[in-house]
Amino acid sequence: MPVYVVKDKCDGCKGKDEPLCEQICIGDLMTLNSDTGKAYCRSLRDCWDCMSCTKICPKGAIEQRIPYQLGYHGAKLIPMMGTDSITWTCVDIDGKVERFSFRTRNKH
Amino acid sequence: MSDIKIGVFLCTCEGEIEKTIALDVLAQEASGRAGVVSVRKDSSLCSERGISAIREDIDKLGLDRVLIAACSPALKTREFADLGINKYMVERVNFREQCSLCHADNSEHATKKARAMLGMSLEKVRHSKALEPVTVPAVKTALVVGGGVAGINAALDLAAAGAEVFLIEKNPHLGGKVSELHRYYPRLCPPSCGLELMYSKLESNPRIHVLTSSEVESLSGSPGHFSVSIKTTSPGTIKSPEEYQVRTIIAGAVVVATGWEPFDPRPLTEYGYGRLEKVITNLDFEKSAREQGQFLAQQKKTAFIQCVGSRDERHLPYCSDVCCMVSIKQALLLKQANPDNEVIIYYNDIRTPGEYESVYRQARTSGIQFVKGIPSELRQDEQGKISVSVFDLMAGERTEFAADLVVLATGMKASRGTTALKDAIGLATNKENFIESHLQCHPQDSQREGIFTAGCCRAPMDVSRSIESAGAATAKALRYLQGEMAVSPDYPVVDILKCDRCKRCVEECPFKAYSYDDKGFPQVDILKCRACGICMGGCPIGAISLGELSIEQLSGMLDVLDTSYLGEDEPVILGFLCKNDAYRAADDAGLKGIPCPANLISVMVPCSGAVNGMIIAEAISKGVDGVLLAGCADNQCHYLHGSALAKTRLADVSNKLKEMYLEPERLRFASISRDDPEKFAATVKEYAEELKQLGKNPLRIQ
Repeated sequence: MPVYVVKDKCDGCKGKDEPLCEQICIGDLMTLNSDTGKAYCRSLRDCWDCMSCTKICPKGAIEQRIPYQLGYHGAKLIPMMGTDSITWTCVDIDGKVERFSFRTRNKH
Repeated sequence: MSDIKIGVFLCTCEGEIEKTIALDVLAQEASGRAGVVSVRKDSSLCSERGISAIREDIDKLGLDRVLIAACSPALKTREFADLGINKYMVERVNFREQCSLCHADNSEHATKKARAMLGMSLEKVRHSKALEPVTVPAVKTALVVGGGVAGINAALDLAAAGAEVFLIEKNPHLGGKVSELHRYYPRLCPPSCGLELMYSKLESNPRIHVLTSSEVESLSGSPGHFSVSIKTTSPGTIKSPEEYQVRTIIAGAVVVATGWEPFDPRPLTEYGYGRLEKVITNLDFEKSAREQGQFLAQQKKTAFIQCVGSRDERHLPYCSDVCCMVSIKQALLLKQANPDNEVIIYYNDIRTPGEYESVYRQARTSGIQFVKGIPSELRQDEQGKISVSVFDLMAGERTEFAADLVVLATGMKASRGTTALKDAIGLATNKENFIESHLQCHPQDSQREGIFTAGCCRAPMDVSRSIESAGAATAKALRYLQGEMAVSPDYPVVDILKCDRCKRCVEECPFKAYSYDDKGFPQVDILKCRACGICMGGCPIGAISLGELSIEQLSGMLDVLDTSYLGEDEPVILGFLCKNDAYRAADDAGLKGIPCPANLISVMVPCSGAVNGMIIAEAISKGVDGVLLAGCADNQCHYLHGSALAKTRLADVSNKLKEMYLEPERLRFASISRDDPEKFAATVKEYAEELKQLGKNPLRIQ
């Protein structure tokens, strides 16, 4: 299941071309709709669910729909990036919330 | 990192700090910390003895970093400026104002907070880098745009200070609007006297080059060496058409003095300007008085109508500053020319500040009538007179006046020259099209470094204030005309190994200091930069760091922050305080002894807009219970939209928290002005209470 861009939050990285999600997407799927100035995924079925774009989006505008193999509707996986850490919030289909913080190797 | 040698100096401030904080305990703990070579306690570090003790330790022990735990870093800056070590390697911890003084009632909490503060600052100084000011060459040439009274004065002042000056004027002659005037107020002397003097000074000064019929086509480069292309039109004749000549001038600084234009009262059809011959504007009056010798004596009955178009939402929403005095001056001239001349001034309010009040008094006593009330319409009667019918608000009755002449006191609006220049060089203007940066603190600045404003392109003003503003602009411009400039190394540095070229910094910089290098990476022009850190706050991957405060330092400080420093049940608030106001207000809270809970640890930032969303997220991830961002009110930010951007970024992180099923209340923005320490203390107290109710941050390490 692919990513979903919340249009109200996305600001197209203000740069008018190549937003961060486009730069980071390993499949070259994310791009900017030049009419709306918002990012979108141009081929949903090719998305690998790597969540790189979700993590890097500074506006928190990209949500990940979890594939059914991992969790059914209602399950969520939300990353929050610090400068050298990441905090994951995992919500299962029953609404149980668990959070994990890790150091990343994005050293300064 | 192993060769770091930090010296920690604790000041008791003649016992003041030690009264509350157990410095000996902290000293002992600090001596065991990694990298700390020496810990010294002194009763007064800022005294000559204290300073020489620090210098001695630096020499003897070979310290490369110094941590001074004493009063606020905003104080005693001169004393600690030169310790014989690079000043970026010296870190100050605010033990007095923001710890001992404001927690005097709870010594235990104060010591615990001081411990946490010391730990964070040790980490900060550990990541410090020695930085030196950069010297940049600058030319000694200035450009003045606009040859009115402000521009001429700026040119003369700049040349007198030794600069080479190019004065350009779009009209074929100098003098601007002043050359169209008959008399100056308040002394009623002819402007030509002052102007002639200025012209002769311009002519005799070999350093001033006057280019008339010239306009700025474009401007590029940085302060110190702007490259300005100027188009000069040579007058055409029947045989030879107009010709253009374009030349490029390298200028260190630019003074914009593009002046004003009179408001055209034709849209106010009720006054019939342009239709009724006897209805003229105040500028028409000046022209007639100057050109027709008998004009003043002949006007038997004259009516002046004030605020035509001014202070009117539909036309000019502002007061044009000069019209009251202009009408009073013209009325006095009419009376002087012939005491039998009848003059009435119809007004809303008369505004004559300062010395001008005496002229107003003189007008009152010389028989000029003042009627509070503005006519709704002007009509010409059968005898060709203009009938003015007004409800006199003071007398409470309607008055009629048959005038030979009606003068409309029209205001000033931004000139076409200002608009053209704004487009040519990309200057920001306010909603009335005047060039503005931060009115109270930097009135003569534009939003671009090295470009200053003089005269009416900034706001409506009279001649004396125009000349004054020209002086102010000159004084500011001189910094860029010294042959070279030292730039403080506080400016941001982009780590191009991390940068993804998203261009957010380029878009968000309020001073347009960013451009692209040949590979498309953003690069900051250190001369245009004001080191506000808005780019550092906006960078989504934290690739931008300021000289005085890097992302690495902030992240390091969060790493070592003990989020249970007051115990398990007390919330911990991390406060990012703007150094211009909120931080100072917090200091004042201490100095005034306003008690404040010890739950907040502050970090001084150049602007609330310099706080990166990742740092806020990281603080929450590390278990901080609340983050308080305190800066100016939106319209007061020295960096224009710093606090507005800070709010947006804070909102982005709170949205994320909501998604994570965390309380968005854990992030808060507060506008705290410099003189409101009570509000600061109340905000912290209230917030700490609220967070206590909310409970512990679930991400706090158990």
